[in-house]
Amino acid sequence: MIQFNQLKKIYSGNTVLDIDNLQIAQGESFGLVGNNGAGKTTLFRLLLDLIRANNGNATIKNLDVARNEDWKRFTGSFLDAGLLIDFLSPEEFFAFTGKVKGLTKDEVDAFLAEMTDFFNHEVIGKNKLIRNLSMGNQQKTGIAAAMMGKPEIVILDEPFNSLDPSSQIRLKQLIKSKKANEKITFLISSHDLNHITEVCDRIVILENGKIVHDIQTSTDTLASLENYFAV
Amino acid sequence: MKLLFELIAHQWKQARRSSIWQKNLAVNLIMGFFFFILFVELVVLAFFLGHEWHEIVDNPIHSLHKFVAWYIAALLAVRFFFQKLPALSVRPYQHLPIRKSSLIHFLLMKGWLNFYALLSFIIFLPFAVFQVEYYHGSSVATLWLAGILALDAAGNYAVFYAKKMLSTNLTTVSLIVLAIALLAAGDYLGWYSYSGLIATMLDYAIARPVWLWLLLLIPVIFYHLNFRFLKSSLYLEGLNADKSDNHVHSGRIGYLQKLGLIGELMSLDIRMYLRNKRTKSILWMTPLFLGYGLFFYPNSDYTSDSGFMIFIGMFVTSVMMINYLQYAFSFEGGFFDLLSTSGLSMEDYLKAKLGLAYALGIASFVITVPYVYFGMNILIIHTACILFSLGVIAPVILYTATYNKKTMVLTQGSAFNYQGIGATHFFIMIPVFILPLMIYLPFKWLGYHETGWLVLAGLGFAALPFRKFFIHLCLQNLRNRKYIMAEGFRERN
Repeated sequence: MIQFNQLKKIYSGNTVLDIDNLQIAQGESFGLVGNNGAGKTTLFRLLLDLIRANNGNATIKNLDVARNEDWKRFTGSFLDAGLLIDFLSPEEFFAFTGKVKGLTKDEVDAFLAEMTDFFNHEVIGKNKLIRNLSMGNQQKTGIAAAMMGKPEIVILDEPFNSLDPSSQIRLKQLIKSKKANEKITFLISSHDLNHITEVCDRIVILENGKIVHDIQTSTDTLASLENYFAV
Repeated sequence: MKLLFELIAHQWKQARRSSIWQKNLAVNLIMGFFFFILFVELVVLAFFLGHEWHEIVDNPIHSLHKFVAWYIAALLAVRFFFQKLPALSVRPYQHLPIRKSSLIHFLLMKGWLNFYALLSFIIFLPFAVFQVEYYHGSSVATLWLAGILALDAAGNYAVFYAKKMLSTNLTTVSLIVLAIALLAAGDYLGWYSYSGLIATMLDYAIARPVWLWLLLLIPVIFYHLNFRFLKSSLYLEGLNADKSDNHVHSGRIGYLQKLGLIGELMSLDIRMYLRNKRTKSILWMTPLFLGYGLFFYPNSDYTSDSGFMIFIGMFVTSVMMINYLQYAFSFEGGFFDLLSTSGLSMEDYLKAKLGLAYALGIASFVITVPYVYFGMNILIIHTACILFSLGVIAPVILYTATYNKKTMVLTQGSAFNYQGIGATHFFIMIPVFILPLMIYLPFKWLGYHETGWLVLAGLGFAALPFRKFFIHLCLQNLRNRKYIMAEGFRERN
């Protein structure tokens, strides 16, 4: 489904990402962990064609993301506030995203109904603009928008950040059910080792731009991750 | 007191260390030069007026006081619409063990010591030195100047107080505008004389200087009112919560809904303009842009120079459109990542931009048709200019707009705000005004200025059908530059 080949990103002489070969299968949920500056966001940005690679490429369904734009039709993502339009209300933002993804108004409404639990009545119908929502609710808006329009791939950068504990649990349930029912391939980065081991089948540890561990999740994954990051 | 100076020192550091000063030398030089010229012109004008005042008017002191009356009224209006208590600036200090009254004093001082206070000083100093001193002696002149500045300061604090008491929604603002208009109209129609009344009072005071001392008391009263209010309202942060922020214009235009995704993108831009401070202040400027012709068209010195007329024609009919197009991407820098990953067709995106730009251009043209009152030539020139703008200038600006790769922070007003403006903005403006002149002037010099207008209009008209081709060129350019743009936009302070 997704493949990275000899991918390299250099910022003013520093190699911030250097991935020889990495493949992610369809329906896999892929977790990315690593300390700050390890290259997680850079990896996602390269995959989303937001930055240009110095070498190599990323492909989705064997098509280079920088040369062919078809992947955008079935890939949803939320990295940071740059993927929100802050002067719209959440309703208007979902309507806009729905239109771009080719959904009808009814489909957008059905989608929002599906998200009711996740939003916990804090996002829709509040008569607020996105810029006036709390960080957590902005995060929820972005995550939900990434899942609109039956995507095949969803990319989330540190989605558990700023969410309250109940919302974190709801997000985990949402990811698991989307994965089971719609066979979505998830790419998730997180600093929270508990959450990531719970929702991901496979976890890759990045350090200074390089893959240092690539593990299939099992019962002792959490312990070994904690051991790895121990100081 | 020592603390107050410390806080003021922080403000100075903040201004000095803002990224504007550190990057972008070229822009600083250009803007610095403009501001310097403006400042010098202001000083020279004030000096000239103060020095020659008795030559210009019959009854110098009385006329001066009439001028003071209008100046104070005008500044009061400007302050009401553009100034607010800089309550945010104390936020970093609120949790520290600093007495609340110190913070309030700091806030109120900062709210007064700004550009307007300096303006009043520059304008009235020469009057005090050359006029009041001549008639009433130097001690009265000093007291008079202090009194006028006190009146202005009183206006400043009165505005803060009034704004706290009134909620600034559309209804209040409309009522205030209406009230000011009625007052001015009454004065103009001679029902009463506002300026005469104020001038008589000031004349009385200047003859009996004890009364001038009373002027100094007025700002103290308003300062105290503000202080008491702020002190009792306990939480400063509640002051800047803009309650009206969420009740916004829907920006939905029925017709656009029929245009599918392109219409949706246009609605998005309309909402952006209506809901952000910076874009809104551009909209407030519209009457000034469209009314620019009024400075020149009534005067035959200008209308006889047809080259200059082309310049004004381009400005009046196209400046709104150009303003929109040149910031087309940088206003949206905050969500450029979204636009480039969402699967949105970039061609539709550009079509929406150009479509809205056309709408702005055509609207400007239609609104300014009444200039025909000053001569048929003006309408002809406007027609030629708008055709040239729509056909040629609009695609050129859309193409060059990709070179603006800084996010414009939309939540700050645009007056004296050049965050996000790079040297490229100035270069973009060059072709807009030079290009039509380069085409027109040769014809004018050969004595065929009507042919020149026709050629200008014809070129624009002929270029219109090539819109698709231009959009394709812009699309190529956007594709080539998107990484550079995205990276630039992500660098937000």
